[in-house]
Amino acid sequence: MKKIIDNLKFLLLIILIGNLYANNIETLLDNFNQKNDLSQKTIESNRGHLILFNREKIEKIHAKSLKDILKTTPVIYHHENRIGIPDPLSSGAFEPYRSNFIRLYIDGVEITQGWMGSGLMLYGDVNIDFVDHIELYYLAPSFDTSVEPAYLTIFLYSKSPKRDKGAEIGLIQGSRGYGSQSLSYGDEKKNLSYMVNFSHTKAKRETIPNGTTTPLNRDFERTQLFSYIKSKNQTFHLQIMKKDTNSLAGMSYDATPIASHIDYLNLHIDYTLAIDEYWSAQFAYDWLKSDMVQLDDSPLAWSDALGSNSFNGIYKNSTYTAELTYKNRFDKHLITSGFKARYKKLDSLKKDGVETTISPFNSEGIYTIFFQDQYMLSEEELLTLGISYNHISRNGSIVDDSLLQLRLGYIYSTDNWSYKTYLYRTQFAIEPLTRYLDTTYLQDASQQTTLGITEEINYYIDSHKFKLMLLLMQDEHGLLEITSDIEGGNTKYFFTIFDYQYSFDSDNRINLQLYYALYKDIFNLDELEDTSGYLSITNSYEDFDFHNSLVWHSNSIDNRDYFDLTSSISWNISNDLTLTLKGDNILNRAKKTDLYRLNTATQTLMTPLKISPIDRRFTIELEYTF
Amino acid sequence: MKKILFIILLLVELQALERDSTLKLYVGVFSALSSQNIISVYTNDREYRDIFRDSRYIKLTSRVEDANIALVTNAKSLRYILNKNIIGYNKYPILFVTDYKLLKQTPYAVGAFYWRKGRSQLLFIRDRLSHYNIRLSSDYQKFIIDEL
Repeated sequence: MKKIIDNLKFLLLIILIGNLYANNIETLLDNFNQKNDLSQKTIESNRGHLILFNREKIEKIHAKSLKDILKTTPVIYHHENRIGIPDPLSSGAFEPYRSNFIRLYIDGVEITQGWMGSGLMLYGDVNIDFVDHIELYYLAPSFDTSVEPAYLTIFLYSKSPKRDKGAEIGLIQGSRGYGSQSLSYGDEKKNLSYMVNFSHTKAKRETIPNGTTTPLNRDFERTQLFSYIKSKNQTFHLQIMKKDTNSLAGMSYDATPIASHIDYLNLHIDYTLAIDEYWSAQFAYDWLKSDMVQLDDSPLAWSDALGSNSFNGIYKNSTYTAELTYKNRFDKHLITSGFKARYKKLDSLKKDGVETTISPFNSEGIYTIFFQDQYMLSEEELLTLGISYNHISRNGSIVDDSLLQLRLGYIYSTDNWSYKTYLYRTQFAIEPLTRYLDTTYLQDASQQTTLGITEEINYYIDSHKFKLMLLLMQDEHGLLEITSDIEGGNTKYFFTIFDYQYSFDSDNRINLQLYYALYKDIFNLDELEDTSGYLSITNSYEDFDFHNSLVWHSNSIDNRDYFDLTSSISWNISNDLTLTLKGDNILNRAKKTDLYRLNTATQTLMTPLKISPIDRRFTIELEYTF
Repeated sequence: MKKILFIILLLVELQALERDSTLKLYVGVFSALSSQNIISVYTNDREYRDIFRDSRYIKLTSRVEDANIALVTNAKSLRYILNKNIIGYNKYPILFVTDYKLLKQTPYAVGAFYWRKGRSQLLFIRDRLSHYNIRLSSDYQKFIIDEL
């Protein structure tokens, strides 16, 4: 009898093991990859409307700079302004920097250029060899991350030495004399992990004919260092970027500069401490030196030039940020609260080598308190409430601002589908550089209030993923509105994004995205319709990876269709060595936007220049790990 | 999309392996390599020991000599195990590694499960498997290569 029971036990064990391995190894691998994707550790589906580029997607589409990501992302896309730096919200008019409310974070810490603008101005086309995955959220996904109000938030998360141990070299040579080199090294020792990435890019870019013998030039040379060291409860980052640029039209009203160069030197350091299970603190310091040389045959569009045809100035500015956050769970509530402070200072302006003070307005302090509650109504329903109050104080007789941000959300989620809806009230104040350059008119400029209602539906079945987002917004007293009385009016806009992903298997995937936006009263237009589509196909066959994608744009400004075709073929010669051929904007029909010009003699607008921020380029790349 | 969860992450947790999927995968791989119903595994990696601790199919050993399989996660552990002079073809334990470089460093490692460009890679080497008289089932054949 005992023998029979033993045999039955053995048989039961075999059946159990058999059932366990009914999950064949491919299924186990898929499950492992999905659950261990680093993005799964950082995204919070409770946060808001997310567009995710995980490591696999970044590798498959062979994105080498943030520009490669943003050029496919609805609402943002990639645009550059009249000085040739990333500025997705640029109108092409005479404005210092427009995308201040797009916030950029690396490993959860905001990178900011403080006085001069958002971190995006330098990091908008940053080399992303150090990046594991990228999350883009519409508006601010959570008040615990944002010191200042956000229209859109970009999170870059760096690679982990646990998965990218050792060294990696990347060498890229491209058409028109483009060259880029990157070296990374990461390791972990006992309770410490560290990573260093050094890259250098020299980009010869397409020039823009401007009717003179000297076309507009936007070549740049960038050297960047990204590094961190992490322990169980502490993280320290050090980032340095030097970017020397030919600054396109620069400060020339008619886009015919005689000389136009801006060289940037940027430093970012931060330290994060998880004090205990509930409390964390963060300190960050950002410093930027902007060395501007501008020369034209008529007065420059830059108030610090004081009506002169030339400007040779060096700005230095610092930003100090400190945060204290508390997060705890009480029964069905997840409470997050904290205090944040930021101090932006224009340290100095040296004109023609001489220390100069032009405006008494040279510092701004931002003090933020916030409270958030995520209340679990049931296992499938969540209510989220957030409130944030920002007080902005300024020197130089500039008025202070008090901003109130509110966010109310409801989420319903099951295994196959989810529904999210949010109500937003977000307030923005004009950033310091814009105000500094025009203190007379903007000393008491009103703040913008943005009201929004957003919805998102996700549906998953087998290998299909569907996503539909609907966002309806209204900007009151829009800072971005161009009107004759300086202060803006109301802009209403609606946009919708449909996203479909299908995996034939782990090697073959397709992604289709459609975007439609309707704006009322934006810039100097009564109505603007913007439509785009994105189709991406990635395939792997034996040692080869293929990627083909097409971005299509059309808008009611010129009713033209623009196509940006990107293709790449990677040959994985060995486990350590990969060779890639890539073409960007192969059809040379990527989206162009207007750069406005003003004839200063007659005070009339000239025909705008049409410029694409995406160069047509073919590259060959070698990646080696050791 | 799963049920709604509250997420409170510590910094260190960002890099940690997800327990359930990792355990299932290793139970699958180890069972393919070993004929034992309950497999004795040696590893000195704290994270993997934590993951394997509660498994019904894996028994953790504190001595490498007692193991059917030794899971090696770094060069120091590999040196420690090789210096024991107990590793050899057709002898237990079988070496399985989590780093491609370790696979290159020792001819005794039959396979590896490692990260490459952020994606996991599973690999077995035919010659080395045959030295241990291991025949993997058909669904593992696509992960077997002839040489490094």
